[in-house]
Amino acid sequence: MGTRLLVDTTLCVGTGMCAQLAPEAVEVDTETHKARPLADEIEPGEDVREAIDCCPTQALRWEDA
Amino acid sequence: MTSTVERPSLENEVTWFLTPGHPSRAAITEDPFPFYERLRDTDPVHESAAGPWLVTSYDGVRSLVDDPDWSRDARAARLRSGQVVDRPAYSLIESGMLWRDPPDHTRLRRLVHKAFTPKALQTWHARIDDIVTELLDDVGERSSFDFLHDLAFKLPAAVICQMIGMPPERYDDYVGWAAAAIEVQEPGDPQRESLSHADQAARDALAYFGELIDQKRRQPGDDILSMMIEADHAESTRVTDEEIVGMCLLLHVAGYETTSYLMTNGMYHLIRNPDQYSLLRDNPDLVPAAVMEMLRYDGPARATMIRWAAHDMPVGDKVIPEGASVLGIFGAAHRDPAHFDRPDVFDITRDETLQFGFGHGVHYCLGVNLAKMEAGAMFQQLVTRLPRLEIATDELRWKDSLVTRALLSLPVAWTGGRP
Repeated sequence: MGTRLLVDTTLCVGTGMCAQLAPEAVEVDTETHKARPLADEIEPGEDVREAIDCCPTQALRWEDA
Repeated sequence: MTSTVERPSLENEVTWFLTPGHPSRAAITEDPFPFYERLRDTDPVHESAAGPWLVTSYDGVRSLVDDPDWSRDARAARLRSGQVVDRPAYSLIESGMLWRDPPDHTRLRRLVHKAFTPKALQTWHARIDDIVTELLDDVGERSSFDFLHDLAFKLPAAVICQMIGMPPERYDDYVGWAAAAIEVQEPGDPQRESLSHADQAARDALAYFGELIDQKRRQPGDDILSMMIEADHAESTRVTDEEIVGMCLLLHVAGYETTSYLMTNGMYHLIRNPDQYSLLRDNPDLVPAAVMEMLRYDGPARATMIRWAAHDMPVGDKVIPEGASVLGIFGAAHRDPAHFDRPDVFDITRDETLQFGFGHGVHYCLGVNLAKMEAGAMFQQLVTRLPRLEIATDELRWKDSLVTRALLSLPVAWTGGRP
């Protein structure tokens, strides 16, 4: 069973730290300046965990797909 | 009798706004909002004669903070313009993440961001509450006191020093070094006298922190300084000692004065709006929203930090050319009637998500959750435990600064005498 990354765009303020830390999992949309997951399922590695934990607005979370 | 005083030209007002210390600046320093409104209504993306472009519309300022193509790399900008000013005061503070772009910004923010997650800050909640209780017990013994110096400076200072791992006995030095780092950010002649003082402060800070870093290397503690030293062991977060010291000063500047002024400006407007003060006393659940309204209505940052156009950048109906510098004025954006209903009214029940007093984008405030926690604890106890405060002076003065919007002091008294 895989893992899915979810972005709450009402909370996201576009710091882009997540995209810098886990570029394989998430990017920042150049129009909306909000984070956006890059794939349906992601590898729940250390970098993704850091991105989720350290988001200042807590806009990211993951759940089992 | 009424007299008609002719209003100065807009360009004169712009020049005064951009020139702290100018003899004609007093009115803008005390109450900048009429100037902001005039500029936003007349020319919301304005090319000033004195230097930077000034952006005053909500959408314009929002685009400055959102779009990562606006560079914050001060050193690169100076090199581009051929202005080689290599002095310690500049290089030290500019080594911190505030004046860097990704990927260096990312590397530096990663050194410390784990200390500011909501989870990590949970351990500070009770400590912050205790400090507030102590400070309020102390001022509760007196019939009047200075809200800025006796309360608002003391809380964030105590917290950030403990977080960084800085011994309290060097605290006054630390304040001086940080003040010099702020002076560098004011506009003006790069050869001015106050910068020699700032250079010396930078040298002193480097020497002092150099020793402290050595000490923490031998004996790490549970603090941010030790965290940064430890991070240097990982390939992705290598860091120089100068960058560590630059970050320490930055955390102080950003984590101390801003929160102090947020609380003090906020207290001032709460007192000046007795209906809102009563509403908050009757509904302490509104404290978090009230803090955000304090930030919107008259927050501690006058403007965004300066940014440079990485290429020709469209803002509103203008194009700001590559290499040009720009300032977005928060106080103007946050009272833009296109986005805020009755923008000049202090209303603690507003939708707080519209504003961006903590910034947005790459440089979004690292300490946002700490600042909210500190200001929240202060106002929570103030409105639930203690009587109302009133202003105890006829003469209030604001700081003559382009960077900071701050009262220089706020003498207050308990309504009805000592609690």
